[in-house]
Amino acid sequence: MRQWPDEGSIGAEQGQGGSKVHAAVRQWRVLAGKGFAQNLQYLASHIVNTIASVVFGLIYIYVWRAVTPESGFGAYSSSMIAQYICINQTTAWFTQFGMKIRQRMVQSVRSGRVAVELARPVDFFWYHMSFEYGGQVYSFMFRGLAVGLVLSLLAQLRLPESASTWLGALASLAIGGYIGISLNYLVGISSFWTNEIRTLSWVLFSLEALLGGLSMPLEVLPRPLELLAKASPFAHLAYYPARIYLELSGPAPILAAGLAWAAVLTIVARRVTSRARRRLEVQGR
Amino acid sequence: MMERRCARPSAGAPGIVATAATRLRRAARTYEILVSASLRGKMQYRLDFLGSTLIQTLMGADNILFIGAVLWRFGPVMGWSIFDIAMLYAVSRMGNGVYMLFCNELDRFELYMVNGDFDTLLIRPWPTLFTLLARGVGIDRLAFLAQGIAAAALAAPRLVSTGVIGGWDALWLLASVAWSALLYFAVGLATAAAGFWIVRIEELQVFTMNAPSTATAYPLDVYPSWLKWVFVTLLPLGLGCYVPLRFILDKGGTALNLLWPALASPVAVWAALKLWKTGEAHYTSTGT
Repeated sequence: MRQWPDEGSIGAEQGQGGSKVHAAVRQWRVLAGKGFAQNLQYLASHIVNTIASVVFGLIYIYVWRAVTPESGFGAYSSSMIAQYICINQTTAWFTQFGMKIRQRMVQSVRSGRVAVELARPVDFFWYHMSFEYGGQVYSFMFRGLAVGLVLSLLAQLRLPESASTWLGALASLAIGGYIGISLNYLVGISSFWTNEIRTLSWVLFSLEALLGGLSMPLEVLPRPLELLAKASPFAHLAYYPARIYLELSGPAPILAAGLAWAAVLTIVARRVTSRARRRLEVQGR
Repeated sequence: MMERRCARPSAGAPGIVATAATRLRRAARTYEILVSASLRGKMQYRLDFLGSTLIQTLMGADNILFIGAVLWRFGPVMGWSIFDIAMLYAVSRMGNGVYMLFCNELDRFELYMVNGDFDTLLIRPWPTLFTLLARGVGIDRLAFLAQGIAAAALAAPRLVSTGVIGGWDALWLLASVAWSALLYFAVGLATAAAGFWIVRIEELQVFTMNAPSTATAYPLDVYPSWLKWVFVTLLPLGLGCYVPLRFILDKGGTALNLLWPALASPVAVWAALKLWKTGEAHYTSTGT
């Protein structure tokens, strides 16, 4: 069985590692690896959930087949929408589904363990981001791709021929994952103030579902809502990666907007973390 | 002790009836006390409760907003108008809401298994299921019921004015909510009972509860026959709403559409209770 470095060694490596960049990359790799490895423990339950995700995909594909006119709508043919749903049910396992960061943070605050986490010689936001990112890579590889494989048989998913499309879609997905984790982090860190994050989690889940375009192209929404959704960070969780993959949009402006949102969310998350650190009241044992 | 003595067969038929009535009264009283205690706990933060219920009601309606957006853009689906589907959604959501209100603890049963808290239910002088359900009324999950009522209030006037529903249909719609709630209870209980063997059931709940709950918000006509069959038999949440509403809203079927859920719901609950009893006998504590 592979041994992962203990948590204390992360700080030590930072001091000995030469350049700061090298240390940061190594830290990311170790934490992301831990997040990945932790998820391997729950393989059986993940298989059940994967089946459920396939069923969700089937539901949306059949609903769309029933409602879409023969001629399609806008840039979307009936077949294109089935592929859109298939892609989103796959990539959502990286950008939306299965994230544990909120619960991990709220439990940490409730138990008082958060004091130890804050005392570590690792940036708090970066620590959670790295760990969750590794977990989401696991989710995508072992759950998302399985869902995509099954649904692609029904949706007759087309593989892009252009390498730039693949690169653009993967880059957009990587940014979408970062944005998704950042949003969840902001909900999780609210537990420093409220201790109960269920309502905020609901709000986030609903906004992701409605404005992210998970189960429908955003063009279906009324025009003002469509514009709002496209300008929001939520669209980078599902809508834009799928558009790039289906070659309905060029990657450059989307990636630029995604990076801008990632930067904004990072700044907000770090500022909120800084305030939370001062606000902390240790509870529990 | 006196009441237990009365339960002896020698007491005769009237004695048995009296004992049953007494036990029922005691059970109702115990349930009332436990639920009141749970409610008092939850209402410590009234503003938080009201705010979160309101937000959940508004934000959790993404499913109906999706349906609304699609129908607004493309028109009726397989003969079902936006008002028909809103009523279908309302019945399904209200059934789910009633289940969540009274069976909230089943929804979070995994915690009992993982933390070993089920041990504490075994030492109580009541059946474990009764004690479990009485531990917490899901008043903080009222959003489901509120969404269902809101959808029904929006759809009903139009359906009445166009003559789609009228007369006894209101009664049948209420009955459909009751059947739907019973089927949610049966599926929820069976899923929770699986926890006696597999401990972690949260992922299973997504498969047995969330997926069919989403699917049955749409007319099952949109699915291929095998998937439709799954949602009225194996995961039968469609039996409580789609099957009767198909007849009530004049989309097809016969009066038997009203009979099937009335027969199947109690049978499903009975089967789930049997599974619970069997699972309980296999329970192994994970410790605390």
